[in-house]
Formats: sequence, structure tokens, C-alpha cells
Amino acid sequence: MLRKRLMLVFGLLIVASMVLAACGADTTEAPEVVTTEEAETPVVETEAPRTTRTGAWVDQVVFTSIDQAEAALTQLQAGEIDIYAYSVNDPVLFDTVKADDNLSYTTAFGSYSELSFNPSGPEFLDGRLNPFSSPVIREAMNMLVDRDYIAQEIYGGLAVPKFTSLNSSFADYARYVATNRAIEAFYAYNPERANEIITAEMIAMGAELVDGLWSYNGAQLTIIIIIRTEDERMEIGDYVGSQLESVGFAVDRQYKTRSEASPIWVQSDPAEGQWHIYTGGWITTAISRDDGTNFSFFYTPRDYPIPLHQAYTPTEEFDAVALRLRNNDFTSMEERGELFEQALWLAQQDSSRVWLIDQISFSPQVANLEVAYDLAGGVAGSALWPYTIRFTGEEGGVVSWAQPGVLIEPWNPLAGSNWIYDQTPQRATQDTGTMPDPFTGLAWPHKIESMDVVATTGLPIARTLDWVTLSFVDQIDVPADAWADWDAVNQVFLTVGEVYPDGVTSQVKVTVTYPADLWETVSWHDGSPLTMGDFIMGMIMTFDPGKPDSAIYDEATGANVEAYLAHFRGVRILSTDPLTIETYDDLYALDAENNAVTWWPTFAYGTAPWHNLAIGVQAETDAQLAFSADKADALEVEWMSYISGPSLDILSSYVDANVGAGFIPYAATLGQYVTAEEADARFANLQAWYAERGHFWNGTGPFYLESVYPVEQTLTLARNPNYPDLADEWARFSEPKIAVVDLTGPTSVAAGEEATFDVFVTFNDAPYPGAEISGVQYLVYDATGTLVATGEATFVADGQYQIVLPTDGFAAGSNKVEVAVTSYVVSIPSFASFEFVTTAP
Amino acid sequence: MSEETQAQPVEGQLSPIKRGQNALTRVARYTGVRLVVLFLTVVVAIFLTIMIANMGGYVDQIRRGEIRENVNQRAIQNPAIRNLEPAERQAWIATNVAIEEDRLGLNDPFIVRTANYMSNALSLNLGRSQYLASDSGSRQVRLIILERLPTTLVLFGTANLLLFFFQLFAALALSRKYGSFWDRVIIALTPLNAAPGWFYGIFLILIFAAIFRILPFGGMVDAPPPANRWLYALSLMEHMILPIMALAISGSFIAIYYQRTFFLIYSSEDYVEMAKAKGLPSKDIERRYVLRPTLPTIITQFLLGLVFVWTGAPIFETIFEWPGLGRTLFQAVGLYDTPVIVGSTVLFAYILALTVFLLDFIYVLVDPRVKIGGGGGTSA
Repeated sequence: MLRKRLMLVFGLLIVASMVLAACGADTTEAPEVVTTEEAETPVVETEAPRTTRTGAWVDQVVFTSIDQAEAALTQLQAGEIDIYAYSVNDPVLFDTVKADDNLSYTTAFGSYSELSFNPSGPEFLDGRLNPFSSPVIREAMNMLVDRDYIAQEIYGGLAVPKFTSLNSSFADYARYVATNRAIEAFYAYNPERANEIITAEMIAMGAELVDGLWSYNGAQLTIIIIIRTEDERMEIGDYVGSQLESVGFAVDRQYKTRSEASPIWVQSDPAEGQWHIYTGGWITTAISRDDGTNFSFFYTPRDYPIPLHQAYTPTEEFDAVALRLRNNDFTSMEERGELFEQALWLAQQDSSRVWLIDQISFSPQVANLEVAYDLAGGVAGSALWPYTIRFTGEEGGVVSWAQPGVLIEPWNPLAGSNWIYDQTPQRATQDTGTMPDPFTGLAWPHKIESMDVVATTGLPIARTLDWVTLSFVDQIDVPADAWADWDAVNQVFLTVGEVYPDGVTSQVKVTVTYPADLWETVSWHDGSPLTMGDFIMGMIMTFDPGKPDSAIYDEATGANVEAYLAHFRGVRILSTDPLTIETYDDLYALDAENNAVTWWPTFAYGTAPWHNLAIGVQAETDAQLAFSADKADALEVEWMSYISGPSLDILSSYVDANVGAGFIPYAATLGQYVTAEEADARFANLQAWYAERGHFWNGTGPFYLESVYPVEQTLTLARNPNYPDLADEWARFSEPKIAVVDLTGPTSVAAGEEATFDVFVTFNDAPYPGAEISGVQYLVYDATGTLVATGEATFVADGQYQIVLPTDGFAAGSNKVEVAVTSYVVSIPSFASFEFVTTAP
Repeated sequence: MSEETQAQPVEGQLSPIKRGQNALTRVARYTGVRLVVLFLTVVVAIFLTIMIANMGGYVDQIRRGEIRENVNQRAIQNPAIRNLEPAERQAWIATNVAIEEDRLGLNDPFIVRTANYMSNALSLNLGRSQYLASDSGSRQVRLIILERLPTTLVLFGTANLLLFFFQLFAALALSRKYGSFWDRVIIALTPLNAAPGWFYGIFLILIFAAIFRILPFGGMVDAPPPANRWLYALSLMEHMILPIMALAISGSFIAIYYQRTFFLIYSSEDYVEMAKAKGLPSKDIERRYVLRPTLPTIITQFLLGLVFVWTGAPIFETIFEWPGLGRTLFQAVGLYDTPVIVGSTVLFAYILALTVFLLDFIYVLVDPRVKIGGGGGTSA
């Protein structure tokens, strides 16, 4: 009897497990269509209540590692974790998240896919014809691929069609939205037209169609597609192969991983004809405000020294336009706009690349969690996540944060881990002079108070936000006492007077001013107050590791410093209280805001006060450790880690030795700003910090690194109780203000009469403020999809615009009016369209 | 096993001293030959590993491509580099490509690097990884392996040990009750072992972590780990329950079935029947007449099971988020990180060779019929 009962229970357990497994996400449901018109974002409170709390909203963030998105989603649903900060692309999981009321998500654009063509020819070295040596055929490929199919069917709706090199969520797409939309209409999917063009060109090239397949000199032509297998590009490759087969090409689909494909498309001589098409993919981790270099990079041999790019032969006209855009060779944004319009059309005619989609990824989280995310980098790439993360309406609490890896490589501020899984927690421990707007990419003041940009007359620099001042002068002379370079032997800065005896000018001068209470309010996590020494050490570290005479010279950094000195002209400290620094440079950004050079002591791979850097410098000088992986390999020592491993004992020995020794690194320079007493106090603080925390990671950010468990793959961040700024400082960035556009008007208009259309622009059902709208453009297409008219809508009231469209010359038939709304506060444009019929007058 | 370890026929009588000298000579000769053969096997294994890990040198080409891609990506993503003059930008790219190629030794001929890998591996100088870092950030292959080894051993070692003894005693018990209900249950469940442990892991996580929420989803300990070491140990044990259950379901039934059949065969030997006829207690019969002759097989199974713990189990560790050696080695293979691949292989090869070598001696200790190196002497 007992046996039977046990068997029954066991059997039930197996059946139950199978039933439970079968009760997972419904994979048959059609994925939801995502379009730019109705981009979805989690609904969160836009107005955070005022608070007296400083720093982070939550008390602690615990980082753990989960490799698989499916597993992370299960844990989110079970309440084990609060957020999975990874860019997930699986449409089935996306549906699961959307269907669960307890979950929410954030989205990001950052990855994009394309087809790269081998342009060599017309014949390869072995005499085979290369159809894609012809720009005409490459251009026709734009119409042979159905981007909507790729976005909806292959990516399950987690992508939007892409026709040009411009990311549809970045500033330049919005700036030139009319041109982009016209291109999209012109190159829309039209396989018949593509076939006609390809057929005519193939015959012109000497090929012939034999039994439905293209041949050349008696041999059948076979198109070799190198298809990447790691992601959706595998299906893209298959689809493109099928489309090519439909116009008479035999296709050889070669499926390869990145490693296998790289020697073929990156290294092989295109003339050998080892491949015709490669399914390329790119990624951007930050919102770009200036994509002017795209054309030179993607279509000319100028910037990418690989055999494929050296085979590019853009037309003279295109090459000249691309070069001007690359070098910012224009004097106004209007002139830039004209160049962009030319370049966009010429790029399509060249089509060395055919762009396919901008991918949308999402990061799932529990519904009651709020966090600012970056439109390109998502949550993990957001600079604001530490300042904004909170449980809705709550202060305090512990956030369980999962991502596909924790503590991947050593952390050190100069040349440590570049992994996003390391940089995400690091970002919480540091501050910055300015903060990038997660929705536009424009800089906002954070630790600095104000900035003044002076540019040479004629430079196309413009200002959007009023926190910065912008002015123009005919010439900017760099003062002789400004620091222009570094003498690594004597450990002193070289002045402009020494480096440029005849004087030097710069294109821009940027003056940043810090608040008057900076030195009283900001302190490092180990208790040491921020001082001038931290800024000076940061300046030294900008140059010293790249100088061959330096004890910490690093060849890779040397190349970077050389590149930096090519445009850097000088820096001068105008005042230490309040701290005011002016920087002279020949490199500039088109947005005045993004020219900020703050010298805040946060480096490429983290933050550090001068005394933390000092022990690293000592260790590298003594060849005990090295900041960079390259140098560590060369010296056969450990790659310096401030948080774990064998480095800690070595660093600790330097701290112990420095306590009470009054040690000041680079004393000839830093000694002018740091006293021996300050040095002793700082090393004592660091010694106590290490004793308490077991690591040397020391920042000023809203969180400090509380504990590190490398083998257990977890770390914890705790709220910095001494952080001076209010917790709601960045609350306004909890949600992107993506406009919702509605367009109405008459469905029938007699040709020659005026037609009036009303445009309603809202956000969260409230009118979108007119002051935040940068443009409401309309585009009119006829029945063939040809753009026949464009213009600007007229402002009526907040959230309301009007288009008055004369229809003179309109042929009888159906037409479409489309409106594109661009905003100052979010770079993603919104669209709406309306179809109407013109009748004979 | 090798021929030398087979039981030998009875020979003529020799004096004890002569027999002792012969035995020593035989053992010494056998040991020497055996060590040389095993060493040569290790050399061949390492050479093949180096060749396979580098695809006979083709990985150099892959790396060169990847380096260019990576450096160019860095150039694109860094506005300061992206906006440089073309010549300066290309110089920056060329410099960084050269540095990376030099770091990876791509400027040395592949055959020279192969020789270096070989000599370092054989002298147990595991060197530095090319890409991977240990959890604490070190690039020493020794530390990369040593950091992950304890976590692997604690899970798979514990599981192996527990399951081995459980299987052994279950098999013995079933062999006593051939054809019983439980015997039939175990036989019926053996097809479950067709699926790997990670497969059951998914179900177990779903049932016990996601639905009932009584056991953790994965990881080695709670996050953050308890500061108290006893609580830490308790948390560790809690996190080991599901993985061990998964391993038990995926491996136990067939092992019990196999061992039970083995015991059954030995239980029907004439000398066992004789012992039963003599009226010896069943425990004595099991211990002296069934278990003892099967010991060499059992010990071989046990030791080789422990040796293979070194390889870890990448998918299993991924499902349970266990920071084991398997995932590290899997990553190393994906990155073509030759020093890590060779380092782990050489350690595995040495341990396997040592185990095989020791097993020959253990057989002699546990089974008097076996003699080292064959030759003279009588069986017991």
C-alpha cells in the first residue's frame, strides 16, 4: 500500500513538473508591432515629490550574475530580483513582460544591421563577374529587401526599418527627418523595380540569363553571402539569399561565427572574391549628437584601414561632401544641413552598404521600480541610473540588480575593465562635471555650476540649453602661461610659452566654474575631502602615462596622448576658489553644451582621488603592477585591480609605507597644491578604508562600493550618506518625452483648393509644450509614393499645429500627408500620417 | 586495464629472497616503463590540445581579423579618435593593432609558440592568459584555475562522493532483492538518465525555486554572502541541494542498475554459493566474496569520476549560475585563450596519468590476484 502511494506521489510530481513546464510563456502569440510612431515606454511618475534625502533613493544595490534572459525573467516574476539590466532582444520574452502586470521594461536603440558589399571588380582576379561592383545594382538592392518584413518577422517587432546610416533615434535623423523620410519613400520595397534595374545592369555588364540563372563568360554566377550565425543576422542572410535567387542569382550561403567570418571579410583581398555580401552589425553605446563622420567612415577608404574599405571608390562629389562633413568644414548648421541632404542621397546611390534595421532591445524590471535609462545604452549604459533608481514613492530599500556578469576584469581608473558589467556599478561610485541627457545626448551641468564657450567665428557651433553661454571671436590666442604639455623627466607642466614660442591659437575656449562650496561639500568615500590636488593629479594622469620618459609609460596610452595633443592647446586654472578652469582646444562639438572639459577627477575607467592614484603609480613604477593589460603582460605582472586579487596586498604595502611619510607623488607639481599633512591624513584614511572594506575603490558618487565577492560573483553598493546633492536632482529624466502625434483633415480635396490639416501633439495625454518642440514638418506623397511637397506646420497653441496645403498641380488620386515632430527634450521623432484623395476641380 | 595487471599463472617455487628481488626488479621496471609511456601520452595530449586550440595556426588569422575589428570599433566609439585627421587616425589604429598583435605573440612563428607552450606546459609553468582574468582579476592561469577549482570540487566532488556511496549501497541492497518492487522501479527509471543533469536542473529550479520558492534559483551562496562563516556554509549547502538533486536524477539510476547487475553476477559465482552453503552470514559474504572482487572496478569508477570533476560542466554550471571551472574553460575555448586551455588540459592530463598509474598499485592492494608488471609469483 505504501509503495503504491509513493509511486502515486512520484508520478504526480513528474506530471506536475511537466505541466508546470508547459505553462510557461505562450510562444505562439504574435509579437506586438513596435513602431516609432507609438514607441512604448513604462508608465512611471514624471513628477517625483520633493525630498530632503540626499544621494541615492535606495539604501543598497546588490549586483548578481544571471547569464540567461529566460532565467532572469523567471526570477523577476518570482520577486527574486528587481531588474535585469541587459539588452534583451527576444520577442517572446518581450511579450511575456508586457503581459505581466507586475513587470515593466525600458527600451533602447543601439544595435543596427546592414549588408556590406564587396565592391571589387567588375571582375575578380579569377575572372568571375562581381555584380556588386556596380553601384547601380547595389542601389537596387535597397528595393529588393523588405525591411518591414525583417523588422516584423525576423526581429518580431523589436526593430525599425533603417535606410541610411543615421540611427532613427539620434539627433541627426531628427534634424534631417524630411530627407530621411523622402529616402525611405523612394527606396521602399519594390522587387519588380529592383529586378528591372538589376537585369538591365547585368546585361550591360556582359552577363546573360541562362535557364533563369545569371551567367558570365559561360560560367554560372554564384553569390557568396557570409552569414553571421550568432543572432538574427542568420535569418537575414537566408532572406537576402532568397531575394537574390528570385532575381536569377545562384546563392552560396556560408554560415559563420564572428571569428570565422572575420578573416574573410576583414582581412581577405576583396579582389580575390572570397565573398560578395556580409551580414554586418554595429553597436552604439551612447547617443550621438553628430553623425557627420558616418559617410566618410562607411563609404570611403579614408578612415578604416582594412582591405575592404580600401576597395571603396566613392564618386568625387560624394567623397568631397563626406570629407567636408567629416572635418566639420561648414560655417553654419544650415550649410551642414545642405551637405547632409546631398550626402544622404549620394550614399544611397553608392550603397556600399545597404542598411536594414535599427534594433530595439528591452531591459525588464519589476513594475514598481523607477530608473532613468539611456536611449542608446539602456539602463546598463545610463549615467543617471544611480541617481534615479528607486521603488515608486519610497525612500530606502534594497534593489536586487542582475546582469549577465559581475566583476569581469580588474578595476582601476586609468586602464581597467572596459566591460559594461563592470562600468555599470562603477558609475554609481563616481561623479562627473557634466551629465549627458539620456534622451538627447546633450550635456547638463552636474558638479560644475556654469560654462562659457568661446568659439572662433565661422565655426558651426550652436547652443540649445541656457545653462551654457556661447560667443564667437575672430581669434582665440592661448595664454603663454597655460599648460600645454607635460615634462615627464622633471615632472612639471610645460607652458604654452615653452611649447609654442611663437604663440598658438585654438578653435574653442571653454571655461568651467565650480560652485563656491565645492571644497566644503564634496568628499571621497574614505572621508578625505576633495581638494585641488585631485584635479591636478587628474591633469598629470592625462599626460604622464603616455610620455616615453615616464616611469609609468604605456605604449597604448602613448598613442592616445599623441592623438590628444594633436588638438589640445592648453589649460589654465584661473581660480581655485571658486574653482575656474579654462581649456583651449582645436577639437570641438557642434553642440556648445558638449564641449565641456571639466577636469573632474573621473577617468576613462573609473574615479580616484590623487592618493589612490599615487599608490598605483608607485606600484607600476616599481614594476609590481601595471594599470593596463598590455603593460601587465609586457612586464609579466598583475593587471592592477583596486578591488580584489593579488594587487591588493601590493597596493596595501604602499599605503602602509606612505602613512606618516608625507609622500606626495609628482612633488614638483603636485607639491604646490598638496601639503605633507594632507598627504598623511589621506593615506591614513585610505588605510582605514581598506581595513574596513577590503578594497581601494574610492569615489565621490551617490553609492560606495560596500563589498566585493569575486568568486561568488556578487558585489554590493551602499548609499553614500555624505553625498551633498538632493536625491531628486535628476528626477525629471525618469521617462523620455516621446510625443504622440495625431493628424486629422479632410478625406477628399478638390485639386487646386487649400486643404487644412490639424496636428495634435501630446505626451501622457497632455499638450506637448511648444517651447520643447523643435519642428513640425509635413511631407506629402502622391499615389506613387513620390514626395511632392514639404513644409513646416504652423503653431496654433501648445500641442496644436496646423498645415495649410495648397493642392495646385496635384493629380487626381490618393495622396498621403505625413507629419514629423521633433523635440528638444528627446531625440526620437514622432510621426503620423493621413491619406486623402484629390479630385478633379 | 593494461595487460601487465592481469592475474598471472602459478609458477615454480622460488626462495623468498630471490622472489623479493625479482618482485622489486619487476616493479621498478614496470614503474619506469609505465611512467615513460604515461609521460609520452601526456606530451601527445598536450600537443594535440595546442594544435586543436589554435586550429593548426589558423587562429592567428582569426585573431588578426578580430584585433582590427576591435581597434576600429574603439576608434569609432571614441570621438577624440574618430575626429582625428585621417593620417593620424590611421596611425593610431596601426599602433594599437601592432601593440595587440605583439602582446598576443602573433609576430612570432606559430611553431615557436607551440614549442613554448609545450615546454611551459610540461614544466607546469602555466603562464598568463591572453584574455581571461580570474574572478579576482589575475591573468595568471594558475590563479584562474585555482580560484574556480574549489567551487567545482565542492559541488561536483560532494555530489560524486554522496552519489557514489548512495549508488553503491543501493546497488548492494537491490542485488540482495533481485526482482523486488524497488528493483523494478530502479530499472524502470533508468531511461531518465538519458537526459543530462542540466535538463533536470531546469525543472527542479522551476518547481522548487519559482513555484514553491523554498530553494534558491542558483548561485553559490546568497547575495550578498553571509558574513558569518557558519551561515555561509549553510547558504552554500542550501544552494547545492538542487544541483545535487539534478545530478542524482541524471546519473544515479543507471549507475545503480549497472552496479547491481555487477554484484548479481558475482553473487552467482560458485565460491559465493559455497559460502552460502557453508552458512556464512550474508554480510560477510557480501563483504568478502562479492564486494572485494568488484573493488578494482568500483575504485576505478570512483577515482576516474573524481578526476573528471576537473573538467567541470559548462551548461550545468550555467543553469545553476555556479561559478565553476567548466564555464571558465568554455569561455577560454570561445576566446581561443590557448594558455588557459593548455593549462587546464595539462593539469587534467597529469592528474589522469597519475591516477591511472596509482590505480595499478591500488589494484594490487585490494586484489591479491593482481601483480604489478606480471612475471613471477603466485596468485593468492
